[in-house]
Amino acid sequence: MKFKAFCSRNWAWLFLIVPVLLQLIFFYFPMFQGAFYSLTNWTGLTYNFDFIGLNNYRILMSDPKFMKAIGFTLIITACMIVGEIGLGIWIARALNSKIKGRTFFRAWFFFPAVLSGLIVSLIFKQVFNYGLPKLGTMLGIKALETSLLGTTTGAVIAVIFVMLWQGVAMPIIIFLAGLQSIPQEIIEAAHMDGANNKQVFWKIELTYLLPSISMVFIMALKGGLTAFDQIFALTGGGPSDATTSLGLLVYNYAFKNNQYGYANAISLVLFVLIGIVSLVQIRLSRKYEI
Amino acid sequence: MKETKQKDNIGKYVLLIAGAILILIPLLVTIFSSFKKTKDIMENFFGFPNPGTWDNYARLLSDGIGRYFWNSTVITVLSVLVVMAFVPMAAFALARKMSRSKAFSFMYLFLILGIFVPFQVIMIPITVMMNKLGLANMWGLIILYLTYAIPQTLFLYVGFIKMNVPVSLDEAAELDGAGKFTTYFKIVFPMLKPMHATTLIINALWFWNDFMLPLLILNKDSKVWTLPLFQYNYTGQYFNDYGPSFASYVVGIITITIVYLFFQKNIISGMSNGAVK
Repeated sequence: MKFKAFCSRNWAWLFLIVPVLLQLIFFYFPMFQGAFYSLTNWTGLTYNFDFIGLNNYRILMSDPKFMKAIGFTLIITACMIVGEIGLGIWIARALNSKIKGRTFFRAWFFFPAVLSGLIVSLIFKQVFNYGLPKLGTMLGIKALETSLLGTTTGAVIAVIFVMLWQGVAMPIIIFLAGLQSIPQEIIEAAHMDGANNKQVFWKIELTYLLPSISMVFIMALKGGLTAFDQIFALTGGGPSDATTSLGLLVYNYAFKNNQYGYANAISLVLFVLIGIVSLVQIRLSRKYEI
Repeated sequence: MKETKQKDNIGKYVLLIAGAILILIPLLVTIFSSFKKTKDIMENFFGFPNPGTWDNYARLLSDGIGRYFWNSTVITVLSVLVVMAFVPMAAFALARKMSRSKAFSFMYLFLILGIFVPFQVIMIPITVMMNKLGLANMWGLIILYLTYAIPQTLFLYVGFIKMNVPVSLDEAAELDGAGKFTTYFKIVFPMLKPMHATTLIINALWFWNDFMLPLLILNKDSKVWTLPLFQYNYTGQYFNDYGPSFASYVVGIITITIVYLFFQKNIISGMSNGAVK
């Protein structure tokens, strides 16, 4: 009887207890551990390590691999943001007009989003290695005659292409929903007042799309900064580290070089980066939201 | 006026068809290649299989793809079930309590903070920890999926309950003598059906397609590999012999395609609802 009374008084805590414990043990604990290890020279192989303060962060600043990875990560992130928003709105607008086969196109353009990023990259790896060079030779395009993945610029382009091939699927649907939420009367009224298509797009549609843009921005940002699966499978970070993203660098330093402490320092930099940009972005989008 | 509209539409068709072909080509190449002998793949990458062969699939079967398919299925199904068992329940408690209690609104933030933290931050400590605890196996993976699915799933459920499940409903049930447990299981849980569909889809797709966590937790023992882990290692293993790897991609793609064909509408709306993350 006492037990029953206890349960009914504290029902809400009982409903919460499992998720709270799990988060505590498998999320918060390792997170603080990670922050702590970033101040040590732990290798991960033994239980001994020294506390070295901010030394890892100091080394980081002069580590050419880290600098290269940050450069590459920012490039792909920028390309993802611009590409997903630009292409996403462009295709969503086409899908939003009265054309035949809309339902089919909508389903087809979304399809890449349900595929595993790993498989997509493994497939494209073969396409870039064996398919495109054939096409290049046939058409006489010099740049394509050897595998794109063999040159540094080519590999960067290949990674961006594959990530966009898959990454633009979701934004299309988000923008499409945004476009469909615009009251038709507003657009009709604007046309009556003599506004042309361009004006309607820049002055009306875009304003209504701002919340969707802000959402896609965050998605693309997070996806770009933490990119791992696709790059791991497509290029493995090469050639000569040209496509090593921060996410991949953390993995390599930890599990290939056994520099657990140092790798954790990099991941914390990534954390701060995402935190800052998201905060700024949330502030900005609040200011301009309708 | 009419002419510009038509021109406009032609431009749109060109864009959509070009895009659709760009999506189709790699998938078509994969299916064709899975029926080709390696020599045929090398010489005739974009063409039809000539002659076609089932050898790649036979090899895939004898290399034990069935086991990995099964592993992935079990992990995905169990993880989705535990998420559904624990998360909506917690969401219900929070939705009812957090507006009146500081402790519960703190708990809400505590539980959704993970949305903002990139996985790399915990990647290394969690790998070490799971190995130490002897949880570098399927069960450990399921626990981690449940844990990392909590922030976003909870966020979605709390929003939904606040919007769609009025408090008056609880009160009515309590007048009839139902306790909170009965109210939740008998009345609230069934009302969350649309949200169940959404979260089930986003989580199941994530668990099924995920590569990173299995790579960290399961890579040592090839018996417990998931399908993506198998596909990755298989490609590396047969790096001179592409047919079987292509067949393994087809197995992954076909499964997803069948699910997609059946639940297309739910998947599109579910995933875009979940994209608020």
